[in-house]
Order: sequence, then structure tokens, then C-alpha cells
Amino acid sequence: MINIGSSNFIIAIPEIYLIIVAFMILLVGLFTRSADNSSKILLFNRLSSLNIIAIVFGFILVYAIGDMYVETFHNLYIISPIIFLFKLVIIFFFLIIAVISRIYLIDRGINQYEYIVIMLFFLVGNLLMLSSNDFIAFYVTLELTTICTYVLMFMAKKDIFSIQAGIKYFLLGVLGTAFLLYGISLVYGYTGLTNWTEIRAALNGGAQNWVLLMGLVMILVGIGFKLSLVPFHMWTPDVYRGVNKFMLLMLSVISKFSILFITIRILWEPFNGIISQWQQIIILLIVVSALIGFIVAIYQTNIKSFIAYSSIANMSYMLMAALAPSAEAVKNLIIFSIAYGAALIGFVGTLMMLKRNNQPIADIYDLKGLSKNFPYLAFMLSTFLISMAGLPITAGFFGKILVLYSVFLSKFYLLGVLVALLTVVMMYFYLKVIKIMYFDSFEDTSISFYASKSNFLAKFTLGALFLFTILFVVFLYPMTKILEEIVYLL
Amino acid sequence: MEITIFHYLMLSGLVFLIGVFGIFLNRKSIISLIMSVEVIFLAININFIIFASYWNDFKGHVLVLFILTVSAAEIAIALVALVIYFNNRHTTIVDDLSNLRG
Repeated sequence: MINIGSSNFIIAIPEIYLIIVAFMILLVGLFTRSADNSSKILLFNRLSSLNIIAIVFGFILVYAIGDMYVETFHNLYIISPIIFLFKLVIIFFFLIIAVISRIYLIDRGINQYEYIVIMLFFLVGNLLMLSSNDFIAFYVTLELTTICTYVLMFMAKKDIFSIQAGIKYFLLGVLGTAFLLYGISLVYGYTGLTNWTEIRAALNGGAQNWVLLMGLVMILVGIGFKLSLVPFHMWTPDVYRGVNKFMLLMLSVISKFSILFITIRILWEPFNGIISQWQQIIILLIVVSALIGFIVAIYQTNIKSFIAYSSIANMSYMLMAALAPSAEAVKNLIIFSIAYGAALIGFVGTLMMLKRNNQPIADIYDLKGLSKNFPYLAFMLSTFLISMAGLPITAGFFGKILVLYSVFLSKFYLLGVLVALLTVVMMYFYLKVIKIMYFDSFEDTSISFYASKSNFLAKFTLGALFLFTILFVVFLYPMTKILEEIVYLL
Repeated sequence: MEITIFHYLMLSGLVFLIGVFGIFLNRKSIISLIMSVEVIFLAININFIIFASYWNDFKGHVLVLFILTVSAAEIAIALVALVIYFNNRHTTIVDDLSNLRG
């Protein structure tokens, strides 16, 4: 163990390693001569391969640190079994996205090596945020991730829609951060503490003070902006429509999942004592998000804005697992997030490989006649859609049923029934897309497939996601066993 | 009249509301949006400093320094976006920003 001033550096090794790799990629890019476009693309290609290998090693390091319980850096940084699982999920999905979007990014004209550096900093920010045990650490790492997303959006200089989406995301993100910070300041004003362990001890007997409750509400409003829960969701469809598919995945999978995980930690750790107060607010947010998300999604024809509403609606599922602190809920949440993330990444990743009339696919009617031209791809897309809808034997069904099971266990019967019924409403949209792919205008052959041969790894990953989604029954039992061994609550 | 912590909280709350209304009422010009964001962060800083001096604790001051630094970085990035937007559109008026459709 390396101990400097009572700090245990070993448990922060994954983050330190990834930061070092990011700076090394920056240096390599800086000192490599790349004047013309083709050498830039070559450099980008090589560095993104390096990036993928680095993330694999980061995953191994996170795994090797293991599921112990240690606090370090003056209790700013913590690792526990739950955080270990959250970090594994985040870094695993990040790896998959990095693999499948390598060729896509070059095709969309992004060839600056800084893009890779910012991606790695985004990952480091997410990992550090999941490990934070203090409002100061939480704020700084949250800002690290959001600043990285702003930069990633603004880096597509030629793409005016991405810039506009970035400006919108910036303003609403800053507004969310402002509410969050105002709430933190009120909690700090009530307790005089910023450390979560200490706040938990201070609030243990419950409290009814209006400053504290106001702080709690403000924090939840800020998180609502970040997670795009319903009263604060207006930015989501616009931003998602503007950005490219890689950023779409980053926002809707990595950023959302990590903020949801940290929300769970905030609700369960510092605010454990005032559980009855935040439960009411969370239930309200879940009901409104499910109503708007599931019903408005039906009317969408743009794939990206459909994914926006789908993620709003699925966030309500993930928040349902946060309602009552229990090891069971964490287990079910992890299974749900793996299933949903795999389906979403698979769906968007398959669309990345397709083009119609040399244009990226934007509308669901662009998928017309896909089953005629690419029957395997059409089948893959339908499987991912069915999994997102939550129909049986796919992964999404088991994820949804397990989350509903844990909601019923904590006796929120009406809420569970309402959200389950709304899920059925949304199946209309998923089945409509499948109908367009299989039954609409077969003679249309203008759809073209542009995935190159060098992109074997991306195809392999998508195939693996497909097999995982359709054969989830096989993985369910061992996964549950492993999770049951790891998860315990303090 | 003695000035208590309550008055300071009223002040920071008012400044915060001014900033939030600045964002919601004025959706066209990016520069005034950025100014509203700065006002919001100032309100938060006032809050932290009041509570830090109330509790006689250093953490609030530390957090204020962090907020100042991070918001400076954020504003720098917003100005970068403004420059890119200006190069593309030759204006700083964001007309499409107001139609945040649901």
C-alpha cells in the first residue's frame, strides 16, 4: 500500500491510470506530425485503438480493486460493493460505445485526436463521480463530466445543429447545476457538513426543518434537470435531435446511468434519515415521467427524439428501484440497466452502420424495406426494439419484471401497476417500427450498408449484444448469483 | 435594524431568482444568457459564504473557490461555442432556442 498523508492511493488506481493514459494520448497527438487530412484520420484511428485497449485495462483495474469498503483522501473518495458494480457497468458500456463508434466518428468527419482525450476525461469524471463521498467532490466531478460533454458537442465545428444542441444543453445543464448547488448550500447551511457519512449520521433521527427540505427539493430539481425527469425534460428531444449518434449514446447511456447511480447514492446515504420526505417527491417524479414519456413517445417519428422520450420513460423505471434502500433493489437495478443499456446501444449502434441515399438514418420511415435488403440487420433491430419494449424472452422483459418485483416488495403496488400499464402503451411505437421494417414497400432498395471490412470488432460487438439480448435467460441465473454475493448494504 | 442570517438568505434568494428569470425571459441572446448564469452562481456563492461564517467552518469557503473556478471554465467553453456559432451564422442571436418543443 502506498500511503501518503493517510491517503490510500491504491483504490483510486483505475482513475489515476486513465488520467495518465489521457495525457499520454494528448502528448502523442501533439508531437505527431499530421498536416493533411489522411494522416489525421490515421492518427485518430490508431489513437482510438489505443483508447479501446486503455479502457479494457481500466475495466480490469476496476475489477481488480474489488468490492471492498474503503474511504480515503480525507473521506472524499469511497469504494464499496455497490459503487464497484456501478463503476463496472459504466466502464463496460463506455467500452462498447468506444468500440462500435470508431468508424462512425471518422465517417462523420471527426478526426481530431483531442476528441479521444476528452472522451477519456469524461469516463474518468464518471468513475470519480460514482466514488465521491462528499458534496464538494460530487460537484467537481459532476462538472468534469458535463464540461467534457459540452466540449464533445462543440467539437463538431461544421455541424451547426450539434452546436445549437450544445448551447441548449449547456444552458439547461448549468441551470440544473445551479439548482443542485443551491440545494447543497441549504443542506450545508442546516447541517454545517458536506461529507455524506457525517450528514447521514447528523440526519439519522429524521428532521423537519424547512431549510433542509428546501435543500432536498432543490437538489432533486437539479437532478431532475440532469436526468430529464418530466417537469424539467423540455431540453431532451431538441438536444438529442441535434447531436450525432455517438453523443446520443454518451448522453442517453453513460451520462444518464452514472447520474442515476449517484442519485441513488445521494438519496440512500446522506438523506437516509429523511426517507419519507424524499420518497413522496420521487414517486411524483416517477408518475409524471412515466405518463409523459410513455405516451408522448408514441407520436414521434424521428428516431432520436423517440430515444429521448424512451430514455425519459425508462428513467422512471430506474428511479423506481431507488425508492426503498435494499440490496434486492440494487441487484434488480443493475440487471435492468445492463439489459436496457445493451438494447439501446445495440439499436443505435446498428443504425450507425446504415445509411439511406448516403444520408444517416433520422426518421423511422427511412427504415422501409430493410428486411428485404438486410434481413439479419432487420432481425437484430427488431430484437433490440422488443427488448426495449420489454416483451418476453428478451433481456428487457426480465429487467422490467425484476424492477417491478422490487417495487412490489417495498409495497408501492399502485405505482408499479400504473407504470407497467404505461409500458404496454409504449409497445405500440416499437411494434410500429418493426412493421415499417418488415411490411412497408418492399421494392425500395435505396438503403445502403456502409460498414467497412476493417470494422470487424464493431460488428462482433453488435453481434454479442444481440446474442446477449436474445439469450438473456441463460445469463440471468449466474448473473443473479454473482450479484447476490457482491451486493450488501451498510 | 440588526441584519441577521435571514436577510442574507433573502438577498441570495432574490439574486438567484433574478438569474433564473434572466434565463427564462431572455432566450435570444447568448451573451445575456451567460450573464444570467454568472448571476446565479454569485447567488450560490453568497449562500455558501453566509453559512460558512455562520458555522465558522472552512468548507463553505473552499466550495466557493471551486465554484468560481469551475464556473469560469464553463463560461470559457460557452464563449468558445459562441465563437463557433458566430462563425457559422454571423449572429449571436439564437432564434431556434426559444422553441423548446415538448
